[in-house]
Amino acid sequence: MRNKLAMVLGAASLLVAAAPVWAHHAFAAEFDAQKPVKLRGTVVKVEFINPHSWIHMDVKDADGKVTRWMVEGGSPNALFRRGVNKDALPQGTEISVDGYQAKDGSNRANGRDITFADGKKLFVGGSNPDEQPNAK
Amino acid sequence: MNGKVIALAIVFFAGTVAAQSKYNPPRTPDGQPDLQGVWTNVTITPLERPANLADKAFFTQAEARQYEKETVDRNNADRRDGGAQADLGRAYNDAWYDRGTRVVETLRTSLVIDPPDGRIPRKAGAPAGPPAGFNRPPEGPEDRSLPERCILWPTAGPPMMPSFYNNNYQIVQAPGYFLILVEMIHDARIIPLVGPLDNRPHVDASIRQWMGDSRGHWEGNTLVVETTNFNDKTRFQRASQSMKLVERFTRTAPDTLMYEFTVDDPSAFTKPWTAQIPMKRTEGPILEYACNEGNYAMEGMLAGARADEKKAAGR
Repeated sequence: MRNKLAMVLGAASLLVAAAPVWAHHAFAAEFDAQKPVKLRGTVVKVEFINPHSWIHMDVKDADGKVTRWMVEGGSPNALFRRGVNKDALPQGTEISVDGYQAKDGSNRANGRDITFADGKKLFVGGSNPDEQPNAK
Repeated sequence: MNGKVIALAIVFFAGTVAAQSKYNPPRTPDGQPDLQGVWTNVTITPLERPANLADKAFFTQAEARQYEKETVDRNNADRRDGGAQADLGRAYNDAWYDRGTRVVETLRTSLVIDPPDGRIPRKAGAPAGPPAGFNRPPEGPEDRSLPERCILWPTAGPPMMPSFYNNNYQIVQAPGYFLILVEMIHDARIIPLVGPLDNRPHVDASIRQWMGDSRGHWEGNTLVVETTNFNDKTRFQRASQSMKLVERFTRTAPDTLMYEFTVDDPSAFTKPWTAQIPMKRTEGPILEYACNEGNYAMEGMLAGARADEKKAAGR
């Protein structure tokens, strides 16, 4: 019985896995999947704004030249409900960003995976079925 | 109202789960059932029943837990598998999302409860999928979708559906009015309450509105809201602007607001269909969603389209 259920649910996963993923807007229209970037630098300022947040950071290359990048995140509302506030990411914090660069070649990228310099997650999500941060 | 309509209304009303609730909510100062507060409709239960669960209207508790675990794992945006396009499509880390982690407390396998197969009775030949919006490279904001333009979120309603974050709504009641503040793109629906002594009709048929034109009335402890006068751009589930929508709000427990809606549009569906979402009380406040002000991405998407054109022209 358990196996049968696992089979049914497994098949369900396959069916839905192909469904499109949604953010507020289509990231593929803005960023280039052929241009992955890895940025390491310090936070200049954070705009916790809607529809999506932006982290501004300075990235220093091997020659010491500093380039300013803008990194796109998500809506800040869910983060606020989890206790994140404007002080969560102070100026000067070292972060690492895995993302994809803007199609027009400007220094913008999506924050596909942002961590602190030591690899720790920047913000902790709510994807744990045992906790429901948003419902009483 | 003629006898046939009344009989039909009674049959439908008696058939809804919410109508069978024994809970008697507190009253507002003017005597309405008190539905005020901040509510969330977050859930991972799908709108339509997955095809392979065709004969299964309800999960057992054990099945629900397993479905939740698999769905949460699949949704987890921290995943990096599937190639660059899929990776980019997941946009950003999972912490930004709030898709929920539970199926609805009724353990139904779909939000659609009628027809009994849990599927929307789409008319053959009626177009499926989300509204077209990507037919050509965008020449301006008008060529992008409504949510990208900060006009209306597709689940903001009416009818209201869960989405991947900000599934929060505040209800405020006043004599003669029922207000729903929607967090996504911060729309406020102001619904006039009508009755025998105050029968404000719908606006003229020539006037079409983004969220339609709503009128509410109480049937016992249930608020019934009828909405018409939609425009031809929102097209909920590919319905036309002639869609008629009936929503029912019933507080069935101190922290539960049972929300049901029935969609009727013969041009898109073979018969009316009904969905049910138990909304749960949650902590406020509703947060502002000032969308146009921070929509840097619109510039980014249009610049992206120009870059694509240059690339295609070999420049």
